[in-house]
Amino acid sequence: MTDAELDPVIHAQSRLRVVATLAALAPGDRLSFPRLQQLLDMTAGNLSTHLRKLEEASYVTVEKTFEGRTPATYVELSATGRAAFERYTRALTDLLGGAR
Amino acid sequence: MTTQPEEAPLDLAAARAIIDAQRTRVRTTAYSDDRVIFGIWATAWGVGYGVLWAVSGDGVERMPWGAWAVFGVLILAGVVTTILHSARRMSGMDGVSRRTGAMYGWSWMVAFTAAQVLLGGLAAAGLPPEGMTLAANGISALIVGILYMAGGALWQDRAQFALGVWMALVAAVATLVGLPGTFAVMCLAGGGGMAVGALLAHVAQRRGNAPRRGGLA
Repeated sequence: MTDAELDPVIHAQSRLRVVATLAALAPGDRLSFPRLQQLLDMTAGNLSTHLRKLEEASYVTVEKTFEGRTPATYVELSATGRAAFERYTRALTDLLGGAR
Repeated sequence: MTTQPEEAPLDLAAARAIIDAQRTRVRTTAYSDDRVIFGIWATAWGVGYGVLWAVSGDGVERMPWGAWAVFGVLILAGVVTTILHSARRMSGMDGVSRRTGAMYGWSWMVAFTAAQVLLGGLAAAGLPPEGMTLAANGISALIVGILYMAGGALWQDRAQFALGVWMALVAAVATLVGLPGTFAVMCLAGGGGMAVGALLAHVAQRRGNAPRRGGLA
C-alpha cells in the first residue's frame, strides 16, 4: 500500500482539486467562493463540504467579510496547507518514480 | 452535518493530472494574459503611429484631423480593452495581486494624466506644434518604458524589464530624430517592441512560467 505516504486529507479527488487550485495562486492571493467554485466546476454545497474538511485540518482559511453591504467569502491556502501540499506533491513524484 | 459519500480511490497518475490541470487553469484564466495586453498595445501603436507617420510628410500642421482621430480611437480602445481584460481576470481575486495590480494600474492613469497637463503647460508657454509632437511622443514612450521596468521589478520578469529599457531608448530616439521620423520610431521600434513582448509572453505561457500578474501589464 504505497498510498500510505500520501496525506489522506489531500488525496481525494475533490479536495485535491481544491488544494491544487489554491496552491496555484501567487503567494498572498485568495479567491472568492464563487470564483473558486467556477475554477473547479463544483456546486456550492459540494465545495462547502470539502472546504469544511480542509478547514478542520487547518489547510485553508475561510474568511467571511463584507464588501459594502454584500457578504463575501474568501478562501486561501494556509501556510500549513501550502506545506502539506508541497509534501504531498513530493511524495506523489517519488511514488510515480521521480518522473515529473 | 452532511456526510459526503467517499470518493473512489484516486490513482497516482490521475492525482498528478489534476494538479497540472488546475495549475494551468489558474495560471491561464485567473491572471492577466500578457499576450493579450502586449498584443493590444502593439496594434494600437503600430497602426496608430503608422497612420500618423503616413500623413506627416508635409509637416505636423498639415496632418489631417482624421489621422489624429484614428490614433485617438486606437489608444482609447487600448486603454478600455486593457482595463476590461484585467478586471475580468481579477474578478473574485483578492490579496497581494489585487493590491499590486490596482496600484500599478493607477500608476499608468496618474502618469498619463499628469503628462497631458504637462503638455498643456508646454503649449501654453508657446511651444510650437513640432516641439509639442516630439514632447508628446517622447514623454509617452518614456512613461511606458519606466512602468515596464517597474513591472519587471514587481513581478520579477526580466523580459518585461528589458522591454522597458527598450522603450526608454525609443523615447530618447523618437525625440532626437525629429519629424516625421519620430512617428516611424514610435510605430516600428515602439509598436515592434510591444509585439516582441507579446511573442516573449507567448513563449513563457507555453513553458508554464508566465508571471502571475494581476494588474495592467
